[in-house]
Amino acid sequence: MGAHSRPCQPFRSLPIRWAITTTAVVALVSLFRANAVAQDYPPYGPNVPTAHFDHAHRAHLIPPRPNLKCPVLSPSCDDVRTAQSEWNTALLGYDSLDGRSTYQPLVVRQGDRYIAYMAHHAGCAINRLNGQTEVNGTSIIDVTDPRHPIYLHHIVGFPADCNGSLDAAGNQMVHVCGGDSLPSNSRAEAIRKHGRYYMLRSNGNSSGQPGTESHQVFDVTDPSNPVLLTTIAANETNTHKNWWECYSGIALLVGNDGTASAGRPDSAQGWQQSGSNQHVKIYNLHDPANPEYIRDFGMVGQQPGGVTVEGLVTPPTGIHGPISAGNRIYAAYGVGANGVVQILDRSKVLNGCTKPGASANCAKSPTQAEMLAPQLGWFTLPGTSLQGGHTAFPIFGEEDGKPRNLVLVTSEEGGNECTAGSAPHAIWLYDVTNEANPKYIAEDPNDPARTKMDVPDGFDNTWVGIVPGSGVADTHCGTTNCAQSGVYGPSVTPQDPPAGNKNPNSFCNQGARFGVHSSIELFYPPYYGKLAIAAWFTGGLRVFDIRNPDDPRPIAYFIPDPNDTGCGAQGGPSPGPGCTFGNTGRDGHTVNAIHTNNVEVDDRGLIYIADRAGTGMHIIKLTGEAADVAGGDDHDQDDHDHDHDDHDHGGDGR
Amino acid sequence: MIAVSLFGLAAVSVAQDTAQNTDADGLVTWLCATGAVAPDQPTRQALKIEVGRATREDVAGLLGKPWRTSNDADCEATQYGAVWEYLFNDASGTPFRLHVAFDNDGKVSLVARIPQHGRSVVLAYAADKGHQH
Repeated sequence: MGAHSRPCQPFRSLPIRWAITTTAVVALVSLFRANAVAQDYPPYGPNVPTAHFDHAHRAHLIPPRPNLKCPVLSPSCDDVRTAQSEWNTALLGYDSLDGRSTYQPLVVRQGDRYIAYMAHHAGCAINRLNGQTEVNGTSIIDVTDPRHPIYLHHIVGFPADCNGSLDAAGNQMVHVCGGDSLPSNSRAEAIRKHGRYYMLRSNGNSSGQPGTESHQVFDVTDPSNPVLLTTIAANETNTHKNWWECYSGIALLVGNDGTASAGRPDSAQGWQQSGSNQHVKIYNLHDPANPEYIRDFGMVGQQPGGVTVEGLVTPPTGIHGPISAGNRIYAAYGVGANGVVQILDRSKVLNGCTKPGASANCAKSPTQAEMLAPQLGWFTLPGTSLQGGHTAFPIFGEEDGKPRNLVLVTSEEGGNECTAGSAPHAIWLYDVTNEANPKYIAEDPNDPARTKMDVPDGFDNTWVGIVPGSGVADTHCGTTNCAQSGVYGPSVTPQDPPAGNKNPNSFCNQGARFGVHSSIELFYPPYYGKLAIAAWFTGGLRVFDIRNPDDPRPIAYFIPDPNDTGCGAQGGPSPGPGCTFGNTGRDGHTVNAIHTNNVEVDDRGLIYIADRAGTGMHIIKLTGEAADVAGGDDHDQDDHDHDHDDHDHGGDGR
Repeated sequence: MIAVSLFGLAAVSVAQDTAQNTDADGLVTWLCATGAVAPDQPTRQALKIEVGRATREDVAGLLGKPWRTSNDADCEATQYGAVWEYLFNDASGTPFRLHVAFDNDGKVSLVARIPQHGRSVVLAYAADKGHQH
């Protein structure tokens, strides 16, 4: 394998009260290591793989046209949707997830089993296991045999009442840590957690009931019988894409404290933001049943009374999701507009309010200087206000024997059928080797989003309906022409005036969103620094070869088939047919098409995608050239069982 | 006669859909595709939904409790509208769904009939205020 890991020092950044127990903790962790979650890279372990970049010129491949439900549209066949389409991928397994809209997939090795945790948006559907209509929460599936997933349990969302709040609840984000990976402050704590697994999920999505959200921790040691352990930050709002370091216990919880949180000891009201109403609340969940509050944090200017000095808008855009690796935190702000990515010194974030001289209310209401102290760099995105920071995934590497560190950034498409005036949302690569001066790379000035990591809306790999546009003026996107962008015009699909002369065969003609949403966030060494893997809504799963990061190229995709015939035949006892929701685009155009929302990998290299339109979970393997890039042959990747010790070669302790 | 009646119902819905778009073409398409077979009772009920005005309670009063629902907001739920779907069989026993979308004010913005295979048919539509997230 091309990647190796650099062991970090998981405890060096922790507050003193934990650091003094490091010796005992290390001993205990070592004692129980055999039962720890297998993955050793973030967020499970501290080791960050090192990517090896090159300058190779590789032929740019043209993605083949997707298969269509109606290869030729006619009065007798007028279905505009895509059918299952594979390019250097193959479908291994599938589960309908009972037709629930799904956000984040997460697959964890628990002992000798692989367990998928599928985090749902708000809604209600019938649980196949008991026949009851349940508020969407978290589906748990045994995917040890990826060809035959076994639906184990559905943890109901709260409030658990489909009659009273039919669209309430939802638990979009999920992380799982093993009790033997989490550090302990005492032998008794280590023994109590030994062999156990804990699930952290965001809970609720107000839906008109602000202040009813929280984060929850479950004991999922027996994934068929999860047990709620505790609720964190009760009465919060706007919970979303959390991050949980299993090797330290540090949890970066996305949300906001409104007036409903008053009285809670860790309530920090008054944080401000444009767009998504979110900043980060930081806890140590080394003992998941007993959360330890550390502080609140975000972009400078978000703190109570803060003044905006960076970014595109006042107050700054809210955070979408942080990712930590080594002694860095990469924070993406703005979601789908006014994007900013921030690079932070993790240790300074965690310890900034406990060091001598910190202001009295630093944890909940830091000063401007305390907000700026951990910041190493920040940047905006090409298209500026038209693009947002959704995911910022770090890729630490080397090139020609010298360090070269990158950040893979995605925006999020937010409108169905390529909303007129919006920019195509895509992926960008930034070189952050010099963190104070991030440099945008892999630029394609002919692409609407100015990136080589994009997917044209036409099935023939050409752009349809793009017109010139621009975001607000800015100089922080790492290149010239920051504001320059293409945007979708008023005439993209056959629904748009004037009639005729528009290609019905377009990803913009599928009812739902088309554009990027998110990339994987786990550091699977064989893919790390080689393949960028992303969810592209109606475009399905998209994979790019980034071994030469200055010249990335598309190399694989997978577009699932919509589920027309029901959960029963494919997913288990039938709660009823027709599992892909309809979505409505331009001029009421309603299509029950695919809507690939999020993607993640497991440590076998299998790829899991979740569908926003309730189509379910697809388990995919790479084949052909894409598999070759990962360093393997085109054989079943579920036979792989990578020895992660092979990647542990020491390093700089980053 | 039945087709005329169906159009009448649709027209009521459309008429209450002031300054908003409808998919009359879609309705015609569906009628043609089904050979103007008598519309099923659930679809007749769905055509009574007043797009732009009807609330969740109104829809529940006409169609009952939905088979499943969704609000796929990621983190700003109040910017999104919910979707309710109902599951029925037509006279031939073939499943179909009635799809009711609400805007973020809780009023019905669209009613569609989704067959097991093929093209969805929009029965009535009010232009969504849209969202961006």
